[in-house]
Amino acid sequence: MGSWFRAGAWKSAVARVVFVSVAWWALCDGDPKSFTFGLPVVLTVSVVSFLLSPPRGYGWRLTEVLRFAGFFLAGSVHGGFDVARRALAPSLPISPVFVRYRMRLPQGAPQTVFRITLSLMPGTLNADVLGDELVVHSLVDRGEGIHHELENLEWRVSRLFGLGIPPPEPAHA
Amino acid sequence: MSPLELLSAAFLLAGAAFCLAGTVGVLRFPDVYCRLHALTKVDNLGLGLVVAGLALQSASWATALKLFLVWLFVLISSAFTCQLIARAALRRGAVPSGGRREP
Repeated sequence: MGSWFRAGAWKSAVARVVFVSVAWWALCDGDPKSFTFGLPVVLTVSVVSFLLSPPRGYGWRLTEVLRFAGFFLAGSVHGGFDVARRALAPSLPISPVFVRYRMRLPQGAPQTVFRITLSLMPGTLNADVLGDELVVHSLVDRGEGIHHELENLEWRVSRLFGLGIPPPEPAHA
Repeated sequence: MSPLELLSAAFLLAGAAFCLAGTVGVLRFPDVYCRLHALTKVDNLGLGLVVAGLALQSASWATALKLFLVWLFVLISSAFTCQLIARAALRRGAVPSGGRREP
């Protein structure tokens, strides 16, 4: 239990308690009468969350989380538009391809976040994981473009966790 | 109708249109992997728009936030489900249409 109180663990603890409290408040439509029951629930859920997934002390910052959320939202809207357009176009303009990608992110939460977000980004979908290597399915074969997009997304995820991964090199068109 | 109701209706209609487009994609795309693209991306955008439209009409901030949480959790679970289905299909040898490129 002592390892919970490293620097960074406190921030994680506060963030989780705040998230669970806000979720309870939303679930009960902000009814003040629910708080007497909500307090033990929030405490129990927070403790269980720490037992199942102890904070690992990533150096994340709220500004980076918001920046990533904005990027993710824009990307998933773009992804939805793109696939919807291709599904409705009479000529069905798709050229599906599988590519392999070696992840530079460490295992655990960073890789998981990367895999979830890449599945919602335009055109790419995580199909399988073989160690540090991803099998990515792309709806449209854009050649090297797919690789550069994955590198860019990986770099953004690494910033989210405060990890140092070199930014992608500019694409050679 | 107030401007807020109009905006809400626009969001709801756009959401419905995307859900329809996602279903068309599931029917038209050639293999399981392409269909997953339609299911995850288009339907998440459709659900997000429906949630935004409903949140505009909701009586309180708490209800709006509850709707947002619904969207967030559906987003996470659909990303995971999509990955599990794709992996199961790959390992069972479902034949993909299109190419395969090694690095």
